[in-house]
Amino acid sequence: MIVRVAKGMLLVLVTAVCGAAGCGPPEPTQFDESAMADIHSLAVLPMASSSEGTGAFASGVTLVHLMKADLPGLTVTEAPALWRLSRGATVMALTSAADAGRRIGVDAALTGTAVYVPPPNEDADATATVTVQIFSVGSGQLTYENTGTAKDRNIPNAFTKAIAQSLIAFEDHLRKTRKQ
Amino acid sequence: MQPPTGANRLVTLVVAAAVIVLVGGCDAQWQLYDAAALGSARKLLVMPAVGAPGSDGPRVGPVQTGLLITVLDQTGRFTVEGPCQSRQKTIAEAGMGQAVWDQAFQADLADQLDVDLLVVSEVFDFRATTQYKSAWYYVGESNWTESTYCAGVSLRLISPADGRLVYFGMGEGASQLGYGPALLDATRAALIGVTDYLAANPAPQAHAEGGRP
Repeated sequence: MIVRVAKGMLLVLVTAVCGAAGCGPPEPTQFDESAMADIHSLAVLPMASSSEGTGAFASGVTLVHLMKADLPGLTVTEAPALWRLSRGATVMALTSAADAGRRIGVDAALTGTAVYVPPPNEDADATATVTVQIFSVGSGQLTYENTGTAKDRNIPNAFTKAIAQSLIAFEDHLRKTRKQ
Repeated sequence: MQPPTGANRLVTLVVAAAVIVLVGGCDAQWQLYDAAALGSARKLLVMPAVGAPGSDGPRVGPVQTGLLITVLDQTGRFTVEGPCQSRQKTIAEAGMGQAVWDQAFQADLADQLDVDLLVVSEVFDFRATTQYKSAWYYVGESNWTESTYCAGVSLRLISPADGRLVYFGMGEGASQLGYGPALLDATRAALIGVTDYLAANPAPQAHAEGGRP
């Protein structure tokens, strides 16, 4: 009985705090439902970032997140890794993401930007902000765009939460519209 | 003795969960997506690792690449190749243009080099934290600092033909000696799923004899 009451109170408390803080899932800035219906294969390209390594790391976390999500009717792969061979590798311009997707042979290419603020000390949180963009290869148009921000003492957790936030609308849409 | 109440059970559960987290640690996570591909792989190509943000991080990419080659070679299971040959071939044949995004080109290159899997890695954490300490002795106060070097590594094994994810691992390490031990611990932690799998699935005799030079 006490456990049930405690659970109920916890749920109410979390809901109230979330509501007050406005921490519901962020709304996508671009959401093209009709274009999403044609996406059955997706390649994850390196994201852009102002600091070394952040974009490539965010892409890796995104790939793993999508693999774990196991979305119906969607195959997820990593983009070719040959860009790493260029010295002082710079990530491709976002406008050519669809072209890269065409070369890879997928329906859509995922890229975006990642911003990371390291924890200033051992007890502080890291902050990750990730904007995910999905380009349709067929039309070359931006199909989906959303941004997630998260804080966590554990750096990978901060990225994972931010990426999960930014992809939540995409994942929900695919789950609703496709049967396993 | 009274039977446990609901509140007691809740407290016990919370304490047990906290103990599991504290004892088990959260310094490594991994997932093996394609055990057959890992089990049959004989040659790995380690791509240049990407460095970390921060003041010390950008220079760590090449260090991590070398460390990864060494740790993978120490498994005794694979022929491990660094990025030199593939870089020369890519520049000669594609010139580092948009062809680097060509899946067929990567597959062809892997074929030429007889590579089964690509190893890509990023260092996501590479920083030192300093704590200021002081203590009173008989003759006065003594002040000193203690530094902890932290490193975090993520890595993936990828099928070069189609970009399929075969293995993902993430590890973290910390040391008061320096960055080297921290990075080594993080790399070993990230590869723990691979080393565990190889230990549980030893190579067939013919493979073990012929697989390595």
